[in-house]
Amino acid sequence: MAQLSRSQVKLFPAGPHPLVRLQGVSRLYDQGAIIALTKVDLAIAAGECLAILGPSGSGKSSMMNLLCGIDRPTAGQVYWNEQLVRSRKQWAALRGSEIGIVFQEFNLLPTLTAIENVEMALMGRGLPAAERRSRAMKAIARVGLADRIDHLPQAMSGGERQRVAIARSVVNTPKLLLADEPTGSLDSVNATLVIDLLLGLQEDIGMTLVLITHDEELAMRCNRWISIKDGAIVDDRVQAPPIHLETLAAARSE
Amino acid sequence: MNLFGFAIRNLRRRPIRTALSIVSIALAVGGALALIAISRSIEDSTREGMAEIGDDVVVTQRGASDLFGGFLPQQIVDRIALVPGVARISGELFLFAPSERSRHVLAIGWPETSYLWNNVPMRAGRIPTPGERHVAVLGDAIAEALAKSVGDHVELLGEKFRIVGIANYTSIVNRGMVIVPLPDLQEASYRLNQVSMIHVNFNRNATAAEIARIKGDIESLGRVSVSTASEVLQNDRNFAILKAVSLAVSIIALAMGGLSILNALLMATQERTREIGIVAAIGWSDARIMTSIVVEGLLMCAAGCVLGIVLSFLAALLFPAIPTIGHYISFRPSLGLILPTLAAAFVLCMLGSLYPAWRAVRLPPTVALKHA
Repeated sequence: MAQLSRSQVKLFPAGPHPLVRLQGVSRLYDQGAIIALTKVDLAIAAGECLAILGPSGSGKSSMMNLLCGIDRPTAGQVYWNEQLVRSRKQWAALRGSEIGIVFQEFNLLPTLTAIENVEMALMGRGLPAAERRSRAMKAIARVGLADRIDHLPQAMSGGERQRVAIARSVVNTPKLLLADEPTGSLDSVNATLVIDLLLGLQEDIGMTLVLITHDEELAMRCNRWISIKDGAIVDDRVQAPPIHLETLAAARSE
Repeated sequence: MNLFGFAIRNLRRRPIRTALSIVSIALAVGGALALIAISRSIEDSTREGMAEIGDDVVVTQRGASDLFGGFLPQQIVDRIALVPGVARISGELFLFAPSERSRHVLAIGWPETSYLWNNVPMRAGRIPTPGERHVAVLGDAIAEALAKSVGDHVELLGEKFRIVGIANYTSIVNRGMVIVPLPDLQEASYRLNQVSMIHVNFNRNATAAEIARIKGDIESLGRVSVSTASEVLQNDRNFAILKAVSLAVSIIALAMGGLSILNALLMATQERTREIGIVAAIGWSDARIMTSIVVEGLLMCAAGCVLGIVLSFLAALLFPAIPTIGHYISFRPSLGLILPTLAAAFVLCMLGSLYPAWRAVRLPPTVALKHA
């Protein structure tokens, strides 16, 4: 049996339980007039790189919002490490430490510099100011913007802003990184740069990456992709061959 | 970078809105300070005026609702003078009297032999000589307002009085009074043989027990009350009404300041809805988001309070220069006045900040993030 490299191990489910799981989740808007998601079941394992594909209005972003708790399902449950997440407080705590989010529109705070935007994600965690600054510096250096730390978002290009947003999303070393159309506002050069960066970070940190996109070529860089249409999952594929537990154990003991 | 730094950045980002909010808080705080100070000022000035004239206690009509509403028969002055332990005594009639230039002045009548004449600090001229009638000593403020000097005549209750002296009192009340011989004022005001109050000085070295005994002896002479200047003012209906009105207006002024804060922060949080969605999305708790908004409100409140105090001090400097105000009111901001006002302002600002903060965290982050 072929041996798996460490990076391959990171890319595939490692735990006995999914990291995050949607169970019978529906999301309706305007008192049911708009159905964004309907009875979706989805389990995402730790270390997975998952692309969520679908046309505009198919429910991709609604799914992402539910996966990180910035929206609540109309019906169904969301589990984190098989624990039902019920409250805003629980979700806020998860987003503060376990979940990072990258938005299409960057969503940086305009009054803060690049480094301060990254630091914001560390506030309220009981870290001393110096430690916050040090961690933010490392994160921003990791995205190649060490020389731009004192720049305000409006003084940066779209690609740079998105890299700052990525630094902010990974500064807490999250277990799950959700990226909603992260290249949607970028030119092709910066889009490639950002995707390379996200995949590189995913591999380095070993986190789960969920990439929302309508770009199939981009989705192919992930190991698993699901397609959504009219609020339902219509396709769910894994690129690599399934991994048996024995193989996984052997790779871990390597 | 901390919550204060974050709040300051947000405030500086919208300088006009921040400045307008701070100014409205400052006006509310300054207005409240001024109103409370004015109400206290009248009481304080009257108390200081009575102290400046020099007495230990005053005797007034028992049950009189206010200083100007009570009268005593002049004969009782002689009976009080006989009470053992009373060193000096003087009757006094006072009333607001129409004068020149459509003004009403505080007219005071003292007997020609009153010791009070000897305590008048003179700036110019002299006090009336015994037996001299239809003469007056003016406080310097009223002399200036009426453009009078020694040798001129002043009209009181339709009668002319020759000015023989200008007094140099320091209290605002005394600076605005016209002192004339008691019989002249009694005649002109149809208050023959009546006085408004009686000034009493005790013997020096009188013990507390002796003073209590003297007070009791005086009060046994008839329907009179013996009080200190402060006690008289505390029981005065006019002052009570004035204080109540001032307090009510001060509360309204502060409430308006609180509403102003509420409005400013509601607008500010409305504008920043998307930013609130962003910090919620990166894991800030509801409590942290609320704290950041409240800190912002309190910073504006602090700046507004400082500006309000500065405004109140400026008003204190300007008021005496305004003739229609300065002759009646001296406005002196004090720590005892400023601290309670600031405390009230901070409580209102806190409440004014909490509501928009609470509203902000009620909004789901997805909705907030869609905000323009």
